[in-house]
Amino acid sequence: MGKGSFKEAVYTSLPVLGGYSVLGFAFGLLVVGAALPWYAATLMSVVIFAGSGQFVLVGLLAAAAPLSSIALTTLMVNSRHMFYGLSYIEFFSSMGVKRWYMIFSLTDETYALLSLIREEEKSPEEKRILAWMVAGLNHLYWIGGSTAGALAGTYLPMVSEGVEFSMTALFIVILIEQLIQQRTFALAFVSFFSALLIYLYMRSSAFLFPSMVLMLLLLFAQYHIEKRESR
Amino acid sequence: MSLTYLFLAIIIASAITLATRAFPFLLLSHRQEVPEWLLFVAKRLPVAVIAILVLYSIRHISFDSLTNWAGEAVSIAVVVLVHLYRRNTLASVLLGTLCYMTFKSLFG
Repeated sequence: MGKGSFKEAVYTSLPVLGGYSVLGFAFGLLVVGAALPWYAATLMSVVIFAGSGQFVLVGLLAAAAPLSSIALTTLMVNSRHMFYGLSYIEFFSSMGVKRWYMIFSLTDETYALLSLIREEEKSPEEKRILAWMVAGLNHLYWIGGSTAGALAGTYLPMVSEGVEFSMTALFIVILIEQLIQQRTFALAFVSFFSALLIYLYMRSSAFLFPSMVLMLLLLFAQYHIEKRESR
Repeated sequence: MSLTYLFLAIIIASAITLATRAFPFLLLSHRQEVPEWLLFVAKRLPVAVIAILVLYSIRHISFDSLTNWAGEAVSIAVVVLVHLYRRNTLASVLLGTLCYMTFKSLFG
């Protein structure tokens, strides 16, 4: 691997540098704001590497949620990742030991960049090197951003008031993007308001799990109804 | 909060996140075809989950006085409008958050 391919990996991952350093910084501030030590932000970004998953985890930790609900909520929030790998089974299988790192680091943003890299006019070997470097760089941006945010929040406490809104903003943006791509407005509507009813009844962050299980069951039912109708 | 709890939570979240990403690779080493219902549910689940997470992140809004919810309402509007206009995640999150932080510092 020459210098050219590293330069190219930096260039390819540049849009993610902007996103991850700012979101990571906000995440770091959030961690410190939730009275967690700064290194918790670094540790989470190194071993978890999932944007929305980590934001939700901080909320659960701050509420001292039981480990079982942390496990279930993480599973539901990251369930979309179960299907990202389907696109890259062949590609990753050709990467030897590195494929385990590729699987670990398959975030939304890395997924998106890999779909671009795969279409480029390059030899398979060049694509593999570029893909691996881009995944690693994205991970470094995320670790760097969150560590910087956590340190800034520890030593410059005045900057962080209200920064928790970045999580709300991120979820709204992801929702808009998915609605534009999939046009499933009714689903989002039903999901939001059924969860609201469950929340008003329970009045605690534990509403996440029953709300998500309900949607899982509703979707499962919808599949069977549509299948029956199409027969 | 004990450090044991913190580390256990991080390890669990890490293992489960990795498991979701490794899922197709583990599944397809045993069988070639992903069940049809799983694909159906998986395609739609993200929208449902993210809608619930939006609610999760705004659940503390109180309607007792105008300054309690006006900041959230205006900032959410900023995020939606900026995003529909530019389709740039970073710009939408940044402007929305700055708007909210400004409200917080003015009206606390």
